[in-house]
Amino acid sequence: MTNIDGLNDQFMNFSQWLPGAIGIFLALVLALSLIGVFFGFLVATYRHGPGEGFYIVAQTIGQSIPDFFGTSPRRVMAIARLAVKESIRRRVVMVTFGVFALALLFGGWFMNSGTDHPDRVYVNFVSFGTQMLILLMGVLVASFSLPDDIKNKTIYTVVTKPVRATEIVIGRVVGFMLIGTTLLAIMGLLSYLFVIRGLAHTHQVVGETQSVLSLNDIDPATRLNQLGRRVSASAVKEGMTTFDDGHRHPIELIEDIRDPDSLPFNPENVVSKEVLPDGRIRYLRLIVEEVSGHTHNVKIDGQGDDARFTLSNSKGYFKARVPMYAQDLIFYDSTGAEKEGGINIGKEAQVRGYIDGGSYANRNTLSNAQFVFENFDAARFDNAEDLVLELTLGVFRSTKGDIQRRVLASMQFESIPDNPEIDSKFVSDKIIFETEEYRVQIRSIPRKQSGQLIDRDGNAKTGTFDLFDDFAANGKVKLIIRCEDQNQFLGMSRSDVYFRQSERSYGWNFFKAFVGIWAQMLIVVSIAVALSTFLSAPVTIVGTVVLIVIGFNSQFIRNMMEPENSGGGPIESFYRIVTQKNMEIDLEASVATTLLEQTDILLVKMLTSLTYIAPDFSSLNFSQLLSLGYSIRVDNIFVALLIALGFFVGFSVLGYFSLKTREIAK
Amino acid sequence: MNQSFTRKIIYIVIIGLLLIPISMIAQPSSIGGAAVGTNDSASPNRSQSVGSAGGELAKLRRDFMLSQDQVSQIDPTSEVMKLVSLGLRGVAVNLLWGQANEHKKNENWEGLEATLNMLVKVQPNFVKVWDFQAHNLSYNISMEFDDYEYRYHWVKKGIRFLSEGIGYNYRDHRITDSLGFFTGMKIGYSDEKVQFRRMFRKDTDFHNEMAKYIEPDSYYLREFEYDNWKMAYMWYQKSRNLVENEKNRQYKSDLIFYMMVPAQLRNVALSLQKEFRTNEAIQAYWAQANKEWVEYGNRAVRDMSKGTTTTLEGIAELDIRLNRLRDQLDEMAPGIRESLLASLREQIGVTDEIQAILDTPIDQRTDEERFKIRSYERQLAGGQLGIDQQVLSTIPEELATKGIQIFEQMQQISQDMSLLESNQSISNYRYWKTLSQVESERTAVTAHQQLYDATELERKSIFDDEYDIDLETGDKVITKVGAISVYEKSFDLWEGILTENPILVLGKLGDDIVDELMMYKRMLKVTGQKWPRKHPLQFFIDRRAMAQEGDKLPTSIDIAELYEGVDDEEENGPANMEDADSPTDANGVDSNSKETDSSGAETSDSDVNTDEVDGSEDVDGNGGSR
Repeated sequence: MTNIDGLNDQFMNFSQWLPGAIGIFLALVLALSLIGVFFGFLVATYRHGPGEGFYIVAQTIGQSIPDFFGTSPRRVMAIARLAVKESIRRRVVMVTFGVFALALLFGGWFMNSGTDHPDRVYVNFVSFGTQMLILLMGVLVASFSLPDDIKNKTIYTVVTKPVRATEIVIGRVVGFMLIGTTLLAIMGLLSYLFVIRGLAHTHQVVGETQSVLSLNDIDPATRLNQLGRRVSASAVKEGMTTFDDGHRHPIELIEDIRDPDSLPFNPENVVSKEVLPDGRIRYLRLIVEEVSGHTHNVKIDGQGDDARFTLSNSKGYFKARVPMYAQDLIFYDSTGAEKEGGINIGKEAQVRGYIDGGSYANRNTLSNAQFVFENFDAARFDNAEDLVLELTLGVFRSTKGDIQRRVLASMQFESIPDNPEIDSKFVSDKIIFETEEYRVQIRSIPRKQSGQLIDRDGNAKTGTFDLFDDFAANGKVKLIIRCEDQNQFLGMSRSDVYFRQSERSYGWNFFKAFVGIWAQMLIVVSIAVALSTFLSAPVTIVGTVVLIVIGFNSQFIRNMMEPENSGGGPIESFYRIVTQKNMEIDLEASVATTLLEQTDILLVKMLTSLTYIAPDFSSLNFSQLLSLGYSIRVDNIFVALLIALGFFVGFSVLGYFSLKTREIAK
Repeated sequence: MNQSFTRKIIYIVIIGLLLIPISMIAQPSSIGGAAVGTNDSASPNRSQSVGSAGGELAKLRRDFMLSQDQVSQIDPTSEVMKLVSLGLRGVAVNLLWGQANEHKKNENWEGLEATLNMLVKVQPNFVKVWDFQAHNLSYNISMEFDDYEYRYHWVKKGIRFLSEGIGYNYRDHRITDSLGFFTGMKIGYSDEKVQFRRMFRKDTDFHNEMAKYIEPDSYYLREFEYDNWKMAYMWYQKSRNLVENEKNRQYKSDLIFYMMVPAQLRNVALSLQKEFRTNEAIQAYWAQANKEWVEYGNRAVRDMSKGTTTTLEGIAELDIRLNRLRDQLDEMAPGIRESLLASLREQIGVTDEIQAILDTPIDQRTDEERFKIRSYERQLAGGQLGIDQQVLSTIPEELATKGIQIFEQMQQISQDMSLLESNQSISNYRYWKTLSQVESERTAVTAHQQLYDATELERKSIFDDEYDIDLETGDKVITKVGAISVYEKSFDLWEGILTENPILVLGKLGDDIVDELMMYKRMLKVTGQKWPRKHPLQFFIDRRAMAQEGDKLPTSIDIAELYEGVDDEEENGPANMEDADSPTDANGVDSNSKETDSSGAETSDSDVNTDEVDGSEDVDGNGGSR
């Protein structure tokens, strides 16, 4: 069950992002400096008259240059040390940690209540909890510090020393970040242990013996097991594990007949091995089926009926997969014509495009979806001999069809010749498989594919070809997906079919997700310190919280500007709610309506512009990737850190100027 | 200083005094305080007698079922959630609903589930919330999944979710009603019912989990294992218990409310006889279903609009009373009715069937016969009491006042009878009564067994009889009976049953028999035989065709066309079914046929029909799957 709508950002590279981001940043800096200078000039003019005012503004700007360049790390660290001491004295840090510890202690009680993906629940719980607590702590320690110092006049003990205003601002940010980072590191470590330990469990096999004797034969006529479920085609016996942690796993004894020279495989789960008269080897292997996102390895001691089974700790919860997505996804309709976005089957969130499996009238539908992979190179894969393809295809049935069987799909590889008129084309044989909706389907793709080499005259030569050396000799290959069931539809988006390049360490991925939280903390602390230079503590808190709220909902706010949104802006929608008016009905034309609509436009514009100042926290939040088991790309981390740095610089400058213009810092 | 101290003392005293009324008003009741006296397993704490009834607020909460009125029932998580929302519970609820919709839109099912769990913690006493969202899980989300095993998984999630609502709303029968509906209809009546029931039968984990509400043994039917309809029966029993024994509010009309329990028993039998070879056990379920159904018919049912109380079975008694009054009326104007009826019957005519019923004494007529006579009389004189009105008009003046009184009474009775008839049709009372009666008799059991055997033979592709021919005598000795002749034996039995109980021609049983006839027809086609000229169920097919059931079976007219100009001798020769089929062959493969039969006949069937099958057949009746 994977919906990876948020993952489309994954497709953007750091290098693609950077130029645009720098552009926006510079434009913002320019605009805000102009506004700042203008505003400063106005204030100065009001106090001292225009001539004097101009002089003061120019002087302030002039003085700022040595201040910026003369900032001393030693003094910054001294201020930071003070900030650390101060925040420890305030006990906010301790309280934050206490709340977190309590949540971890008792949170486990409420989490294993029969959900299909406990791993996601656990990860979301710790990452959301940590994020909220850390941000709250950041706001609190940063907001009270300067205003209290100013109020208690303790700030004079600092400003009378030879320190620059930049050092006061930056020192504080650094200090609070030091304490926050320490806390975050502890929380991260505890979270990691909580998740790993919380999900660890094992089962036993139902039955007395923990051996083959505990398994039941499968009725060959019905091929249904104890729970009335279907069993694998090659299963000869089946059983169940005990009910632990809110679930149990079906177990199957699979008959696996292989050629003696076939690829080696994990021998741990082999219960018996027997050489057949034709020279092939018949293995009986014990498989624990995947339930709620994990399975267990089986260890077998002994042979045959005496073999005793031991199930390992849970396996498969903690993944950090590195996906190789297709560069492009092209849909073709039943006539073979390219169709933008595929068939729309009427789902509200049109994430996926659909292809059809033909109908009675049109059995030979040409509908298909082609995933175009570029830079398809063996070096990019950990195991290039046996590739792993993961699919999360959507299924839409227009008729009941065969209920017992899932909808069939097929896949086929095809080379993309640089000169289609001249070059020959490789086409692999079709592999037909049963889909599995809302589950990550993992298929192993051998590097050697049997197929055809078709030359420009249409002559075909069958054989076994290499996926990298033959198919993707120019680095490009396409994967064609078709629906093989009449009257049914298959849906997919670009993120639904990908090769698993490699698997990274889960702990490292966890760390990267927490770096995202760290970046958010830096932004929040910078904002709070900057605002506290000219606002009182409560106002600073409110201001920072408002910016955070806007940051979390920036996408929603920007969407409000979209013309197709019915229901209007904040005031209009409030009016509609109060008068119980439908979203679609136009309001009657009157002066009041016009006024209302224009006010709304103004409000939404203001809010929208605020979203560019407020941080877009969604791009700094990696918990979704972490919980879905995808490796967080280093590119994304760089982006997050750069965004945080941008905010830090911007708000430090703001803090400096505002502190500079106040009497105390002179 | 002194003054300030005194002031503080006064404040403390006032606070102390205020605490008394507050505690009187707000004290929660403790265990047993609200003792309503029940042994219901869903509400384990309420029958104990120790404890206090709590303050005024607790009483109001209890009366209006607003929240948990006993300390022991308070769910800490729920209370914490309510407190954390700082009085903005409404806002929190709105946000969560919005979030739930968003998750559903994005197909984030775990997110949706988690949000719903949170939602009901904030809004635990709003029954519709439980009902609506459980329906969402069991129906709307389960069908999003392609695999029936996941679908079943989500149906259970809905049931589980809803059952948690019992704890918060233990006095509301709407929750147990919905639970009965979900376990019954969703598992036993959906497209995937075969698969769902199969899994339900074996799902001991689920049954253990539900044991805190319903004892699993109560719906364990020995060789048929756990049965979802029987579980639904138990849920509806719970509802009935809540209303009858615990005197809680009833949200449905009597007619519907009391129908649910016996209806489930009938569904047990209906489903079992489709899945297994009918035996004495299934026959006994039918008998039990009949017994409970008739009990329901004899139960006093309140009519909400009129405030009167009637029983569905009471129609016979009313009929007798009506006729007694009619006799009294006739005594005042002797001979008038006969002459009026004679002339009217002359105009309209009377069938043998009606005549036979007219000859039966009134108190010996069956419901079915009564219904027929009433329709006939309505037809005769343009209204129920048309003739009586005409009789009334001829009564001598001195008796007129009494005559009018009698006529008014008759009008009243007639109205009550119409109401009862409409009530009967709402619950389809007469149909189910007849069916359960018929099914609990030996003939129907045998007929069903034969149908089952025929289907099994068909699955093994044994269509025709196998026989040895004695070369000397030329006699045929059947060695192995084929599906076709088993079917024919069964149809003979059904002929008797359906002739005796024409009400069964239309409806569930009729539909099932049509399915079997379609299978029979297909086998005839495959084996190159004609539809028999005199089929025992021909009257049944014709009757259904008249009612425009659209069965696509050959009617008498089709048969006449088929055999037009064909001599009796040729009848046995190789002829094909196509001629008879002309209006129907598009439906050569019927999507309603046995879903489990994937082998045998279906393969051979489609071999024959591949060129004729119309693409549209897949669409028929399947729209519901998505």
